[in-house]
Amino acid sequence: MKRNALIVDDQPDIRKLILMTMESEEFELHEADNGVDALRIAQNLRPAVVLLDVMMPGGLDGYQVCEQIKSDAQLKDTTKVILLTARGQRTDIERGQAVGCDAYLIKPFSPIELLDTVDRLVTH
Amino acid sequence: MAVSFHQGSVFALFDATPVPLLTFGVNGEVTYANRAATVHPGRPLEAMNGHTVIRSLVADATLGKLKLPYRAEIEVAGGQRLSGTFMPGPAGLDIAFVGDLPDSPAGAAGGSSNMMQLKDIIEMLRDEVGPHIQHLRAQLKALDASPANKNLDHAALGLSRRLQRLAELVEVFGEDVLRTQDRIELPEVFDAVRGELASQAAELGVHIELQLPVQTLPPIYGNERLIQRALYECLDNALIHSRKQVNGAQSLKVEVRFNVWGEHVLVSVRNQGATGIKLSGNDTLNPFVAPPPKGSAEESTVRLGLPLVQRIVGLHGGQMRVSTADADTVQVLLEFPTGAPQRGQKDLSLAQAQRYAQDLAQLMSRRKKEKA
Repeated sequence: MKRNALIVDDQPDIRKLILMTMESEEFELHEADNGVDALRIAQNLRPAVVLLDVMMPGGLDGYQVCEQIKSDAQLKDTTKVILLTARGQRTDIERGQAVGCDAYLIKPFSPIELLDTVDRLVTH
Repeated sequence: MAVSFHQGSVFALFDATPVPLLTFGVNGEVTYANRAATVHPGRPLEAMNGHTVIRSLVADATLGKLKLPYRAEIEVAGGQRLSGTFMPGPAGLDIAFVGDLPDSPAGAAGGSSNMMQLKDIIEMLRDEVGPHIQHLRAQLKALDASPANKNLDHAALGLSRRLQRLAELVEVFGEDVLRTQDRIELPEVFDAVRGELASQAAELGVHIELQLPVQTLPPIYGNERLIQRALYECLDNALIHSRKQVNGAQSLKVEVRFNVWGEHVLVSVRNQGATGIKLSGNDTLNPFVAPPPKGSAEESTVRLGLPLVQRIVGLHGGQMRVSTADADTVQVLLEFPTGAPQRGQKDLSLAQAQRYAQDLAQLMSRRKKEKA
């Protein structure tokens, strides 16, 4: 049975690139373009991994979604969160760690780096 | 139809003209410069007065060697160039130079009807700084005769604050002001502002109360320093005007409330000092809208605070409203969209696509291996 992966980014072309990278028999891929939907889908599907953009318009940004996933008893141990962001300053990375993210990739990121990170966190 | 112009009216008309207008005597020296010329950032008055090229040009025009009107581009201060036309002057043998209208209005960042032009800002600078410098000088003169140090401190502080406001105002009308995308948690920024104004609040006997919603406030993205500036202006005004409206030792309160409304954060700054205190019919707490009496010390603060806050909030995609909550209370409401701005970040997408293209071969080979 395939595991679920959730891709969250407000930019459709970035989502498409990630979908293309992640296409395999290993994951059932799901998408969201905002934090509120991402959290709802995560709570329903309990994905193995969430690829989560930090800066998104609307109610919740990536840090807040990550924080809520990591404080959800049913998700915190099973769902790995990879933050994807153009913000590569030390304070941003520290903030990511503070909300419990499992990995942090800075845009533009390499698809190989993305797959390796997913492999490291989920596959093995 | 023959018209007899009044000299005063003609000068007033020239001053109302938005382009630089200068006249030169036959020796190439400036005989008149209108207001636009005197406040022009290229300082054409100084740059052109008696300049060799101007002297020669005026001499040639006077001798009929140069046919007027004559178009020219003049290098003025700061490496700027001022285009315009030399033409016969309004008096005697004087030659006039009339600058062109700029291609685009100053401060092209906004493009909205509330856009302020540089000349307005400079005019404000004059109005703002002038009286305070005079005040400072008056205090300095008094130093010999009396211990006026405290007054001197106040005057210097007032001057410095106004200069700071003006600097901020000029900055927020610039083009690059929102290049930064800080993640801003408004309560944290407000705490910093409250700290800055704590001594002033204590001095005025005004208590600042903060009310936060039960749910976590979503962040906003933009320029943290400017957002802090906008909150500072709101709170500073609320403090000053609370005390202005109520005399005596009555304890006053300014209430600052944060709320989430859909995908917006609302910040309400409210003068609660007068609640329960019956004010006379003409008193309304209106920190921004109703200006204080002409020429009063507070007038300048109000005039500066309004465009500054409006501009900062507008730059962040939000809006500012001033409303009367009840007969005695007026609140300033700031509304900011939460989260990152809607992105048309073509550059980022392109960069990401390029990064993918670089690794595509490696990715394909990896896929093949997986299938095999």
